[in-house]
Amino acid sequence: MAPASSSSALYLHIPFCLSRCNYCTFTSYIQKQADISRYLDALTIEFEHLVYSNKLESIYIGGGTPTCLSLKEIEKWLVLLSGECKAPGCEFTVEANPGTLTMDKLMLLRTAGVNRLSIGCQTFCEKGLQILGRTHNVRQTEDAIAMAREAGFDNISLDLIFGWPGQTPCDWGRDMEKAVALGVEHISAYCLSYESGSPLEQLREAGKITPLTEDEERDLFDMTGEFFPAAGLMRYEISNFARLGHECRHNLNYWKGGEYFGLGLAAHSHVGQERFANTCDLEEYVNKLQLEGSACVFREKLPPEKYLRELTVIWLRLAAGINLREFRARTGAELMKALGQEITPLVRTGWLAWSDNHERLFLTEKALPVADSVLAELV
Amino acid sequence: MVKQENIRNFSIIAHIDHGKSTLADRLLLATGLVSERDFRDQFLDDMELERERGITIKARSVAMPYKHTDKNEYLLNLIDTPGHVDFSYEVSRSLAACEGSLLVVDATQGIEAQTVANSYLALNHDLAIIPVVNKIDLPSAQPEGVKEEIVDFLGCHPDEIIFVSAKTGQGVPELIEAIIKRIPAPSGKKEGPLRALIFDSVYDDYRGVISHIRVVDGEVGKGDMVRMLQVGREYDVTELGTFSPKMKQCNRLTTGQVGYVVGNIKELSNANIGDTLTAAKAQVEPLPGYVEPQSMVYCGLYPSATENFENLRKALDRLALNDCSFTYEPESSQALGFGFRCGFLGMLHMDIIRERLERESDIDLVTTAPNVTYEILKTSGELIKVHSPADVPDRGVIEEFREPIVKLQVMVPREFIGTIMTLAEDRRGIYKTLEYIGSFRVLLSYEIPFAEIVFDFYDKLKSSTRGYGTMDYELLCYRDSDLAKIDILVAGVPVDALSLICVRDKADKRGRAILQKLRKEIPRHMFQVALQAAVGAKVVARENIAPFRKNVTAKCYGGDITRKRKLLEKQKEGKKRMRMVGNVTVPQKAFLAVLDSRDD
Ligand SMILES: Nc1nc2c(ncn2[C@@H]2O[C@H](COP(=O)(O)OP(=O)(O)O)[C@@H](O)[C@H]2O)c(=O)[nH]1
Ligand code: SF4
Repeated sequence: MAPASSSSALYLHIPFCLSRCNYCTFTSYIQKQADISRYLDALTIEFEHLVYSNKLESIYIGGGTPTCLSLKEIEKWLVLLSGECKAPGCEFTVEANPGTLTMDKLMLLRTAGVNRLSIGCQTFCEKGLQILGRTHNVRQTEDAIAMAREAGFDNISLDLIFGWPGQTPCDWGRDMEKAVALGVEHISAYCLSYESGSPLEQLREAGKITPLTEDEERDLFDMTGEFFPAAGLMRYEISNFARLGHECRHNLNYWKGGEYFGLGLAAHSHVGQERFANTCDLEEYVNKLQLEGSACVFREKLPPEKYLRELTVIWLRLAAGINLREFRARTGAELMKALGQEITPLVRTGWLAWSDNHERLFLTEKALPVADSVLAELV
Repeated sequence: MVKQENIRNFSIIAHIDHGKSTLADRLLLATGLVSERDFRDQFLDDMELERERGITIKARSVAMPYKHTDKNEYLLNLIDTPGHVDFSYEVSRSLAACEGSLLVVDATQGIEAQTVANSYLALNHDLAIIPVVNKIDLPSAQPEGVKEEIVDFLGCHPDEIIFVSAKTGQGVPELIEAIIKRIPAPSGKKEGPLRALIFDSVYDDYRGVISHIRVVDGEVGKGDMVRMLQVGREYDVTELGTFSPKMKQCNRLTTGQVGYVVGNIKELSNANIGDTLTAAKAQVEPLPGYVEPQSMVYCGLYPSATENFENLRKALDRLALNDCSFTYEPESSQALGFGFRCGFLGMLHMDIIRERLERESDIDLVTTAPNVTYEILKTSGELIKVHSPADVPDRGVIEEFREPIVKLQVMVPREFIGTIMTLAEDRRGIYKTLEYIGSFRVLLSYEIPFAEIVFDFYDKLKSSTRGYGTMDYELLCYRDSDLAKIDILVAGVPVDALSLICVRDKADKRGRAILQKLRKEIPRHMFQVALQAAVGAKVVARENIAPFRKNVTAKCYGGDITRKRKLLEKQKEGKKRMRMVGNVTVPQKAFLAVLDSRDD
């Protein structure tokens, strides 16, 4: 089964990393030559089965660490995306980790049309890197950015994590300053979460680390919302900041309920109001593709009301909120008819607000830090 | 048919874990009633829960035919008794049907509080007591020391004590010999009109009520028309028999025998335990029954899902058929909806009933903090029993607010005397007596409000005496105390299910402790939640739950929107399972905060 439609966004997953970070529960394996080549073969099969009619407006290669592969291996998935599948001006992002980038790799990516890099920096504090279990150091992050600029990348995003055990407001302030000083166009700033099954969660359960309190996390969250916009990076989503015109198109598409294909291990697709997901198991992925040409193990079509709710809670994460006209165009439904009963009290108590003459609904300033509680009322 | 003079009715009394059940099983083997092949551990505890917890709750009995070397056929009826302090009334019930008792004492432990309490019960019933020292096979056994304790305590002759190992069977033949020689045969009038004591009753879906009886005078046979004296109900005996140990039909039960009768009675109210069974037309005096069991502890049980109310009622009806010591009546609470106020003998009883309800009927329950029964003498002269704080009338109309007082007996090695004194005095205990049992251990007696010991005293006692302390209690009286009702308000709304009664002096302290506990149980909201404890119109403690400060998750990796939605849905689901007090969601666990806050 290959979902066919007018979707114009593509996600491709490369599930390999140099080592495992302490907070990580993503689908990723420590890189092994044999696995990688079998995986790339399977990925090629999956790509060949993909049926699409529109040219791609955005491509996102995520992981894992796509850049930890060798030049040859990178080339193998790059060729899939060369040439005529892309629309003109297609946003083409690759996730990269410091310590895995070389000039050769960067040039290869550039020539293949990659025009956006998302660099997993997380923090500029060595102590923080160690707690998070990152294998690179601050120097390598700086080098990676400098190199990327040299290779001609003019759209760079940095991933930052705040709220790790022991981090002070001062530490976080320094991280933000540094990120701004490096002049990147886009920043994703996430509060650390202790995902169940991650080493960090186990350390917390064992009492070996003391997480920040809710109040401390809140303070860091508030700092973030003040600092970046003041430096010209506007908050366009709860955790995402960008210079004007550099918002991540690929992610905007997720949040507005757009369609997309996901290829690779554990990748998700959204096509025609239906969601699909591939298996998270490498063996199964390879076998299924060889036998059936598809690795899809999950498929869900929500009943209309649930679908509208899901869309609403995702879309509201955008600072601009939901434009009713756009919502109507996408779903054919009236937001207020479907969810007015829940929305009205939230507006009355100041968690949601209207603008543009009641055409646009958004989370208020005070709702951002507690967005999950507010959105849980709507889901 | 066994002759009346060859019948022996006896019970085994012991402190918990001293080996009562093991000895009972051993007797079944030794008399040949149960073969080695069929032997299953602890025959008499046949309820699943009882076996799991290793305690006997309901009285059971078994008839063991025994052929003696003197060529006589004997019938040894063992009436098993419950083994936990909460159930001491059941012990008394079983003793009423016996002429003798085996007092079992663990050779490694010696006499304990329950040994003492049960011995007094047996002496009150004028029973012949055979002291038995058990577990002599254990290397740590100190039979000599325990012997001294027993001689000291019972004032018996050392030679009267039988030494056994219930585990290996050593000494058991001597014990059987002693049962036959020392326990008197039943003395009832064989010719007289039928009088039988109903000492227990169980309910069976097919046969209806099955009454366990001890025939005191006369006899009863299949097809006889009988009458329950107190209820005044008559019925035909459709089936009767003995326990061996399963029910085994026979045609008659004669004077002194123990067995069961069935009469197609489907309503429980007619199965009155303690009542006297007699022939339909006979004019007889009722047997001295025993006091009806009194519910000592009450709590509210509510179905988690309100639509389960009727199912809960059915489940309670069913349980009550087999347990007359537990009571229930419908009540309603603003916070919890419709449920039942249930009465129990003690905390263990409450736990067991609750567990059984959840297990057997698959109903999720919300329990409110338990309380004891109070008596209130109104200024009008009316005396009312109060089973729930919600029923406490206005202070203005209360003349006396009385609480139950128990006689508490604690047995400890003497080095813990000071510990126990502090513990009991902290809990308003009034010291009565101190008695040495042997030269190392003491029996301390207190008069103490039941409310002070019912919930956690046992655990406290164990932890502060390195596990050596044992206890027993019995209800003495109701006594006027300076009690007050504390109301708990959440965001300004009084929550009926959280009210409690406590001594006025301690109202501030208890109030504060409960609020602190609630503060931990009630999740943060998007707004500040005020908690208050009040006595009448006076607020005695307050706390605030600060609003959420941060609750927002990171990005969706690889477009996994489903996961994000599920997280939010889970959050919403969690909220649904809570109760609403005004616009505050309160988790069900919070309703037990009153109980858990006792030591904070
Ligand atoms: N070694 C030994 N253990 C025994 C003896 N009698 C009972 N026990 C053990 O003591 C524990 C408590 O016995 P049980 O009959 O359940 O006590 P109950 O609570 O009085 O009914 C069990 O683990 C028995 O196996 C005995 O004579 N010797
Ligand atoms: S680099 Fe990313 S995917 Fe790889 S282990 Fe670290 S957090 Fe996980």
